[in-house]
Order: sequence, then structure tokens, then C-alpha cells
Amino acid sequence: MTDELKSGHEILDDYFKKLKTDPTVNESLRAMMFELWEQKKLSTKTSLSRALDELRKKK
Amino acid sequence: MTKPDVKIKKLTLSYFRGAKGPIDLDLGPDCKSAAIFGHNGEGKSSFAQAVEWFLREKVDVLSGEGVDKKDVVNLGSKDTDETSVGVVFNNKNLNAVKAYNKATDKIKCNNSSSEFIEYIDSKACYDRIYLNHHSILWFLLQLKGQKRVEIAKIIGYEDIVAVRGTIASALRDLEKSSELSDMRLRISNNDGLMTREVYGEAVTDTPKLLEKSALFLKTLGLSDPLKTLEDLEKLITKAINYLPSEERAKKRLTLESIKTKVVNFKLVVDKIKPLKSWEEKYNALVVDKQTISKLTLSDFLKSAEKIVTDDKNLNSCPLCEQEIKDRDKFLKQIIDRYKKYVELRTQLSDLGTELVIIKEDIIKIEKEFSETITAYKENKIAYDEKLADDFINLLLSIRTHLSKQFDLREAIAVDNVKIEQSLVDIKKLFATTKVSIQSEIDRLAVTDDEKKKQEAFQKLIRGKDLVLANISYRKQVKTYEEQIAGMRIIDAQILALQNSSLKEVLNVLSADINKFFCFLNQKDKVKNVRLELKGEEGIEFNLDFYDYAASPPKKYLSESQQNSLGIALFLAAVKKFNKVNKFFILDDVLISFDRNYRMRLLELLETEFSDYQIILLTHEIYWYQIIRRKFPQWVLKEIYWSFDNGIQFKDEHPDWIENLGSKHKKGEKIGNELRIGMEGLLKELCINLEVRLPYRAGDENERRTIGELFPYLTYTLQSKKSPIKDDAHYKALEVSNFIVTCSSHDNPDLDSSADLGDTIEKLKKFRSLFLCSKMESVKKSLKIPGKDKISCKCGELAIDWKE
Repeated sequence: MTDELKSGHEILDDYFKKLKTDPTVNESLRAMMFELWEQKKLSTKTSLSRALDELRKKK
Repeated sequence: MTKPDVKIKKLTLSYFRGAKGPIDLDLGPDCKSAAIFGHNGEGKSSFAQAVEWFLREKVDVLSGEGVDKKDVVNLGSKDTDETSVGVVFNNKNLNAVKAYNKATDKIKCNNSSSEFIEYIDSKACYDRIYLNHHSILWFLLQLKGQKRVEIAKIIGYEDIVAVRGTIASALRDLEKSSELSDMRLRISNNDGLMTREVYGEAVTDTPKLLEKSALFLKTLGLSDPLKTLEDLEKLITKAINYLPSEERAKKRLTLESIKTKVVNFKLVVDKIKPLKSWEEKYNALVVDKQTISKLTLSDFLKSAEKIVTDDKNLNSCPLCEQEIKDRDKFLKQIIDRYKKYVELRTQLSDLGTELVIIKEDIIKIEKEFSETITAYKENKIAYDEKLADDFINLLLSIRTHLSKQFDLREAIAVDNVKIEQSLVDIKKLFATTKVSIQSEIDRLAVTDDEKKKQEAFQKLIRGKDLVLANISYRKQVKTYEEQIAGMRIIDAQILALQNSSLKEVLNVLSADINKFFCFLNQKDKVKNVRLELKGEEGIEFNLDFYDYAASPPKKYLSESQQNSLGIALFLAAVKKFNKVNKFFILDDVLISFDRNYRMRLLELLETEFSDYQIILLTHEIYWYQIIRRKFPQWVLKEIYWSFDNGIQFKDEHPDWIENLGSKHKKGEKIGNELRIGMEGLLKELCINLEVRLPYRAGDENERRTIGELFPYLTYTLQSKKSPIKDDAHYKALEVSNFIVTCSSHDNPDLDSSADLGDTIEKLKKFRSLFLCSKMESVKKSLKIPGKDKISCKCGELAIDWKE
């Protein structure tokens, strides 16, 4: 990748960092999404669906 | 971010695809570019596939039905031969040999350093390094959605596409969740039940539930404070004591059941009625005791009948041995007696069957009666016990008498009067007790007040369950809806991010694609080529075709224009997005390219990719000759292949004319190659000097012969007053036998024409009139200012040229 453009990973990394403080999204959902991104678990649906299930059960 | 800088010094193939023993493509310590010529099927692509396999451990074309990983192995190799690809890079830390183990179907690598692993797994895998004629058009023919996916791969945005795909898919699952729909349905049903059966309206929260429950509790006579759900639970427990006794209800149900039995007993008793008629029939049958006693003779008579019938000479009775006077009369007597006994036995048998039913009915009456009497005793219902006992005994004695008399074939004497009287007495007993039972049932009945309380209690419990269930469902639905709303925001944000990022990248990429495409298509009025987002999920090429907007490109572009668009995309992606590799491979990408395109592609590579290591593979001898002349500093190889020896390089001189001279000295046939080389040289000169030739369409333009090109070149030199046409070297070639002989493409006798060695020498001298020592041709476009001369690019050679 050339210098002037960010990689896909960098773009997503910036996004999820911003999402952490996005007031338009529910706080626990934001935290969960950021954690999944950090753990590299957002490339397939299994982990995300399971995490959403658990989040609903906690409530 | 580091700039790509990885190049290849040496590539070694062993028993890989077309390669048998180890074969090295040595690109030198300075990682030269290379051009490899080989006819179709000579194994050129094995080099490209070797690089692909080394970097990705797979070969794209070796996938699909009937093809597997093992197909990288050379067909002529033995089991003990190891299939491998070794690469020496300009960074020695990346040097490695990857070998395929046929037995385990595994690939092993001798470099396990973290630098190498990172190079392979995190960097090289994203680079565009290989373009062949199959893949040039592949991208252009994809749908816009797939183009987006492919562009994302090219620019390293797979992460964004994958994450967005995951989020969109999880969101769809949430929105279509069966659990969510089920809960919404339950809420709706419960609201309906509350309205219809409990409160007259749907209660949705705890305060309202408590308020409504307080009203029911008041009906039950409870006015205790009700502020929480715990209060409600306690009051419900307390309210149970305010309900009609459960024991009372149970007893009432028992008495109702006994009453039903008493009512139904009449129907049961009726079953005893057939006894009297049966008794009459039976007694009539057994009255003839003598006949009954001889019933056993029927079988005996049957045997006698058979003996008499079979033995025509029999003259005495087989039973009593008396003389038979009239045989027919005797036989008739036997048969008549036999028939009488059989009929009697049948009648007795039928009566026996009926008796079984009668006895079963009596047993049923006994059972029903006993159960009723037992229930009377248990529920302390007064009745005439003696009457009941007599009835039971009577039934028992009838059953016993019937069985005994029937077995003995004796007459039956049932006291029917007594039975009738007994039944009348029992009916009276039931009628009396039925009144007292009904009176007790009435006494135990629930009052209106109790009914109201019971109803209030039922509604209290039912309402509480429905409201609490709905509160729980609503909470879960709300959680779902919050998640859906949040996920929708995230999905939309990532989609916007994806599209804005893509747009930015597409603009950068499009600038180069347009530049390269226009370079390759200088005379076509196709411009402003760019990749643009289409809708939310797609990408498509847009361009101006003679000022008309054209999208997709296949709508207006010719096949060669589409090919050049595919090459432009590949090269732009290489330039903008390759992370580590500073090399790429073009494998036979010249399908349907005419000479002008080919020259421009080389010029494009020279202009824009001079710092890249390029490996060109081609089966086009013309193009290969041009490459040889244009890039003499490259590694230039000709290959050939045989099943026994695999791919092999031909020994050759970098200069094609010198190379042909060497071949000629070895006794190889060079006539055809010499013609092709000569044609290539003349075509190059015609382009560079802008020689005007009669118009020819398409491929016909490519098929011009030496005999056609030479006169027009001469005419142009003459018109520009260039003395070269009069040069002895020019004239020597012009009039040589070879030129005359190869004026046609279809000439099989080139090798026998004149002395080819002499022609080669003449050709070298002829070439030196137009090409400098660096093999740069003089060009009409390189006019020397202020002089009637044109020169080569470096200025070493100039010729007279008067416009």
C-alpha cells in the first residue's frame, strides 16, 4: 500500500476506536463490538452472534 | 509504511509442473527483468505458477473439478523426486525452498523465520504479482458486486468487506429472529387474553397489575396493603383460605359420579333379560335325554357310513354285525341318524356361545353393583344391606347353576320370579338412595358468593401470570430492538466508511488506470476511465467513449481495448497497492493486441515501471524480438520442452541476429526465424519513421510481408531526401535473394534460399544504418532542432531527414 492511503485494517481500527465513544450506539454494544474487533473476531458471524446473545441474556 | 522493494535473484524449479530436473531462472545479483519466449505448451507458465505457488501455496488455475494440489508435481517425476520451488531474493532473510511432499500432501518450507512468515502471510499475499490472459478480462466480466469484492482484495480492503459482511449478516439474523417474532406474538396473544378474559384491557406494567389485583382481592374479602409484587404473592397465598373448600368440591364430584352410576344401572340390569328365552331353548333341547346321551355316536356313525360306502360287498353291519338285507336302506338309516346328532351338537354349541355372553353380562352387573355399593359404604350413604347382599348372592348362584347344568347337559331351573322381584327391589333401593344423594349434592353446591370469589381468584392468578410474562417478553423484545437499532447504526456507519474509503482509493487508482489505458490507446477517443461506486454495494468502470458515457466497458470497447483496460487495472494496482514485492509477471497477455499496442505496452513498462522487476512470458516471436531489441539488458530466454527432459533453456546470444548466426553455424534451420526477425525490424522502422502504408484492417495489418514493407520504407526515405536508401548496405539487403524469397508468408523453402550466413551479415549492416549501439532506433519524432536530421533516443545516431 502506498503512503497516502490507509489499509483496510487501519481504517477499521480508527472506526472502532471512535465507536467506543459514540453516544448514538448503546454503551454495552459499543464495548462488545470493540472487544470483538480487538480479538479479531469480526471476520465471521459466529462470534458476533454469540456475543449478541450473551449481551441480551445479561440484560 | 515501507515501500515495496522485494525482487527475485534466482528462481529454481524442481519437478514442478513442466520442469523436471532443477532448472534455474538466474536473474543476476541486480535482479534483472526477464523475457521468456516459448511456443505454446513449452512450459512458460510453469515459472509464473512456481512464483504463485511459492507465495500462496496454491495455483489458481489448478483448482476446480478434477484438479488437486498434487497436480503441481511433474508427470515424469519418480516417487523419490522432490517437487520444489526455491527463490533467492534480494533480501537474503526471505530466501526459501518450499517442497511438496506427495505422501503426506503437505508443503514444507526451510525458512521458518518470523520475517519470512510475515512476508508470506501478511504482506505478499495481498500483492498483485501475476497477470495472465485468462485473468485480464475476468475482472471486467464480473458483476458490480463482485467487482467491489475483487477491488477490495486488490487494495487490501478485504477486512472492511469481511467485517461489514459479518455485521450485516448478524443484523439480518437479529431482525429475522424467530425468538423475537415468537415473543411479539405471545405479547399480542396475552394482551388479547387479558382484555377478553381478565381485565377488559391489556395491562402492561406492575403498578397497573397491582391496582387491578387489589380489586380481585377485595372481592375475596382482602383489603391488605398491596404495593409490591411480594405483597401480591403473599396475598394470593392468603386468599386461598377464602375460597370454597376443595374437599367439599371433591365430595360433590364423587356424589355426582355415584349418581351417574345409579342412573346407568338400569341399562346394565336390562342385560339379564335374554336369560329367560335362552333357558327355554336349552331346556327344549336337552329334554330328550336318550338322544343327548348318544351324541358321541355321531363320529362313530360317520365312520360306518364311509365303510359301507367304500365296501360294496359288505353284507353285515360294521357296528352290530347283523346281516344287511337292504344295503341302500341301511346306508340311509346311518346317514339320517348321523345328521340328527350333528344338528343337535350344533344347536348345543350355539347355546354354549350365548351362555358365555349371558354369564359375562351377569359378571358385569355384579361388578357395577358391587362398585356402587362400595361407593355407598365409603360415602356413608344409607342403604338396605341385606337386599344388596341377596342380590349379589342371587347373581352368583344363577351363574354357578348355569355353568354346572350346561356342562352336564341337564335341564336348567332358574327362579325367574325371584330374579324379577330382586331387580324390582334393587331399583327401589337405588331410587331411594338417589334422592338422598341428590340432596347431599345440593347441600355441597357452591354459592353465588363463593362463585364470585372463585372467579376473582382465578382472574387474579391468570392476570398476574399474563402480565408478568408480558413484562418479561417486552423487556427481551426491547433488548432485541435496542441491539437491532445499534447494529443498524454500526452497519450504516461501516457501509458509509467502506464506500467513502473505497471512493478515495478508487479515485487514486482510477488516475493511474486512466493514464495507463490512454497511453495504450493513444489514437482512440476513449478517455476519462475511472472506477466508480455503483449503488451501495457495487463498483463499475465508467469511461467516455467518443464523448458518450460508457459503462460497463464491454458495451463499447473492442476486445483489445478491454484487454488493455485489464492490463491498466493490473498495473495501476501493482503500482498503488503492492506492499512488498517490486516485481510482477505478465504471462501471455497479448491476446488480440496488435503491433501498436504491443509497442506501447513496452513503452509503458519502460516509462512507468523502470524500477520494477518485470518477467514477461510470451509465445509471440515478434514481440519477443521487439523486447530483445528494446531491453537488451534484460535476461532473455527461449525455452523448449520435452516429456523426458522437461523445460530447458536454449543457448542464445542477447542480440537476435547474433543468436541466429550462432544457430546457423550449428547447422540449425533458421530461415523462418530470420524472416520473422527481419519483418519485425522493418515494422519497427516503419513505425518509428512513420512510413505510410496502404490501409489494412485488423490482423491483416500484421501480416504485411518484407516484400511489401521494403518498397514503402524506401519510398519514405526517398521522399525525406535521406541518402540511406542509396547506402551500399541498404541496397545489398534490398536486392538479396533472401528478401526476394521471403516476400510471401507461406514459403517453406527459406532455408534453402541463397546463403543465409551472408544474409545475416547484410542484415547486421542494414540495421546499423537505423539503430545505434544501444539498439535504439532513429525516430521521426526525434527531430534534431535546426537541422534536417532525426536521431535515436540517446542521440548517438542521426540520419538526414528533410521534411
